[in-house]
Parts: sequence; structure tokens; C-alpha cells
Amino acid sequence: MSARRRTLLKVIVLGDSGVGKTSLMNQYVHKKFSQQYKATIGADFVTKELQIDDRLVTLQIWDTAGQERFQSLGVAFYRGADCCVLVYDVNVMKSFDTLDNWHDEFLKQANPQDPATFPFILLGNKIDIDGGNSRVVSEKKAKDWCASKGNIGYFETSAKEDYNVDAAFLCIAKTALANEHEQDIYFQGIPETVVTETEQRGGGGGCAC
Amino acid sequence: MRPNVWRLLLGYAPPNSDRRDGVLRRKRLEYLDCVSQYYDIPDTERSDDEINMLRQIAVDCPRTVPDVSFFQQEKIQKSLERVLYTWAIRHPASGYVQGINDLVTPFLVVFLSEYLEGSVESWLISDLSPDKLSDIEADCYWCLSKLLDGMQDHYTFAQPGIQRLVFKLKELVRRIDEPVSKHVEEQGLEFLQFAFRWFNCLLIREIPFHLVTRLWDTYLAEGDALPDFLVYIFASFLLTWSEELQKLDFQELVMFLQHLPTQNWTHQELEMVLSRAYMWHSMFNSSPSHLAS
Repeated sequence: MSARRRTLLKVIVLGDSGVGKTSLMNQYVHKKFSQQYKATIGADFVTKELQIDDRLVTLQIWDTAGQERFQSLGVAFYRGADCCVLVYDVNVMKSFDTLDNWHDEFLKQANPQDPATFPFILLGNKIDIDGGNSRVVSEKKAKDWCASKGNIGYFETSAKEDYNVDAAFLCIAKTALANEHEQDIYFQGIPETVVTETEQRGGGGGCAC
Repeated sequence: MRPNVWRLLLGYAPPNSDRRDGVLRRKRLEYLDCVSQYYDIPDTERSDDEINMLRQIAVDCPRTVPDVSFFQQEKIQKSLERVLYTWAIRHPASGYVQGINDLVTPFLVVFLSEYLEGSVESWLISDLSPDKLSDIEADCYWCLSKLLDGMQDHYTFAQPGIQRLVFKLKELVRRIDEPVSKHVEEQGLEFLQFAFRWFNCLLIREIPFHLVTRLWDTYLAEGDALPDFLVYIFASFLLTWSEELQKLDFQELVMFLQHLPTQNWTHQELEMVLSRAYMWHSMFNSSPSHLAS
């Protein structure tokens, strides 16, 4: 047993089928990329240990299936989540258009204590494709969407080229951790100390952590 | 022999051998008609839902058994796409659900084995005439349809059939192996978190591909009783690792159950799972009160 308490953070990854959720997971956890992943059924599970400041953190990441039909499974997988990662493909407009649905469906099924402040992160994946020429969702459009959802963090990534993947997940971990702090503090009844954290976010891009 | 037995067991080929060739010929033509009516049309004649469904199928076909290079051939992926789309259009209550793509593959491999020799890895689709491939594709379509007729509610909205069987699996495991059942519960692991994929893909994802045909021999022999028997097979499969499971915490359990160590399995291990399932089925299924909570 480790002397220090290990913090477990549960992260849910959502988004349309084929946007690269599994690829992002595997790039982050195993440093591998393959064109050959099978479609995820239900949800896959990976873990990653990391140190944030002086805390040892274990991310438990549920990589979910992208087809709408599986959304009814959400309750079994989303409950108790500390952060929700939404992923879309910058080359596929539909995968961006459905973000509202994923966002709302998550809140509905996970039923967090305070839906308005529950932490989300948005990842725009596959920015490597065709040197960016086939891109249909602009960075500005994505950032505007993030701003409209309460300034959630935004990262542009390429699972294939391992671009921005570590940075995105570090932010995810920090965001989830901050949320956990807020909840702890909330339970202790000292709410005012957490305000700065939320105020620091903003600009709609990158990570406020 | 296996291809013929499968076609008979599924009720696709008629038992009367005099009629068989005629019926199969007719069914294969009927499939071609469906393809030209539903698949070979421009997108302008499809609804938005149909376009989305076709897109989803097109995303999944290249991701079907990606570790066996045979399935990476374009002609095979196109065949698969036609079978899945035609099936989905003709079964609007469920439509295409991810994982059904996996379910076509055992049929494809078994029916191709009538014409191609050696291991699947070495097969080339160019060794097969277009007519033969077309017949095989039609047989895959009809056999998939017959198989799924018995489990329609596995793939309709909210997948109630699978939810029900996962619940039964949990109850059966509790009845057979209390310590495992208790441990899983204490760790906060839900059966749905690992067994959903088992039911959705009929265990294809969990064992080496070369063993799948043997597993499907058993499935098809069960006929209409298959969904109930699946619960026994999956309980037997899970409890193969009864001792190991009890040593793992939540995180280790999920990881273990999602990547079960079956890579080196041979027919022997699978036979063990199946015979134990058969035994438990005989013990419990005829005495439902044994399973009452």
C-alpha cells in the first residue's frame, strides 16, 4: 500500500462513431496508433497514473461506443463521473452538430449534483488529415460552442500524430481534480475558496488549469 | 459439411433435398433484388436516417475483424456492406446496430470454406468467381436474418433483450458461484459493464477467431432456445476464471474482463466452457425455482 492516498478520477469519453475516441485513448495510454481498431461496443476501459503537483492520480477512462443506439447504456457507465470528454472530428460536420446531444444526454444520464458546473472538455480530433485541407469545422466555431457551454476547455488533437494528446488529458485530469476539490469543499461548507478556479477559465480555448 | 448443416439448422435450406437447390436459387435471386432495390440507388432516393445508417455501416466494415487480413480486401468489405445495409433496411425496428457486422463474419468464413482451401489468412477473394461470391453473400444475408429473427429485441431501442439476459446472467452466476458474485458486487462492478459486449457480439470479440465457428455450431444447434442458452454459456465462460476474479479489485476486474486471456485457447478450453454450460442448463433450466431470488 502506498503511504499517500491515491485519487481515483472517473472520465467518460463521448462522441460520434469514428471520430477517434479509441485512438485517442490508446495514444494517450499505450503511445500507439493503429488504423485497425474494432468499433467499440458498450465501453472500453483504460487507466493511467499520473502525478499532479503532489498528488498521485489514477484516471479511470471509459471509452464509450459512438452509435446512438448505445446511449441507453449511459446510466451504467456515466454514474459518478468526474469529467466528461466530448470528441468530434474536425473534418465531419455531423460529428460537431451532435455535440449538443452528447452534452445534454450525458447530464441527463449521469445526473451530477450541479449540472451547470460539471466539467466538460472538448477535443477536435484528426487535424492531421489532408494537411488540414478537408477541415470543415473552424477553430473559432468550436471555441464559440465551448463558450456557449460555460467556457469549457478546448483542444485540437491528432491521435495519429500524437499531437496535443498528453496536454489534453493533463487538462482533463486537472479539471476533474478541481471538480473533486470543489465537491469536497462544498461538503465542508467553505464555498468561497473555489471561485477563482472558475474565473480563471475563459477565452474558450486551451486549459485554465 | 458444416456449411450445409448451418443452412439446414437455421431453416434457410429446406430439409427436403429435392427442393433444396431450387429454394436456395430462388432466395439468392430474391436477395439480389433487394440489393438493387435498396442498396444500388443514389443517395437522393434515401432518407436522412438511411444515409446515416449507410454511413455508420461504411465506417464499421473496414473495422470488422481487422486482425485477420482477409477481411481487409475491398470486395469482402463491400459484400459485408451490402448484407448489413439490406438487412438493416428490411428490419426497421432495430436498423443497423454496431456489432452486427461481427455477426456476419462466421457465416462468411464458413460459406467461403466450401470454395477456398487452407487457412483464412491465406485466402484471396480473387480466387473466387463473382457468381460464387454473390451466392455466398446471399447465404450470409439469409442466415444472418434467420439468426437474428430469434433475438430482435437485442437490437431495438434500449436493447431490452440484452438487458434482460445480462440480468439473468447475474442471477445465474449468483446461484452457481456465490463468492464470485459477492466479490463482483462488493467491488461495484456491474455485469452490464463487461457482459454487454458479450451479448451484443455473441462472444466473437472474446475468443480467437478460429474458434468462433465451433462456438457457432452450438449456437445454431440450439435454434430458438439460443438466447436462454447464451446465459449458461456466458456464465460458464466467466467462471472459467472464478479463482482469478476473486483476487482482483474493481479496476483490475474491468481490465481483466475486457481482455480475457483466451489468445492461446484451443478447442479444448472452448469445449470445456460449452459442456459445463450444457450441464448447468440441464440442472437449472428445467427447475426455474432454483433460480428464483
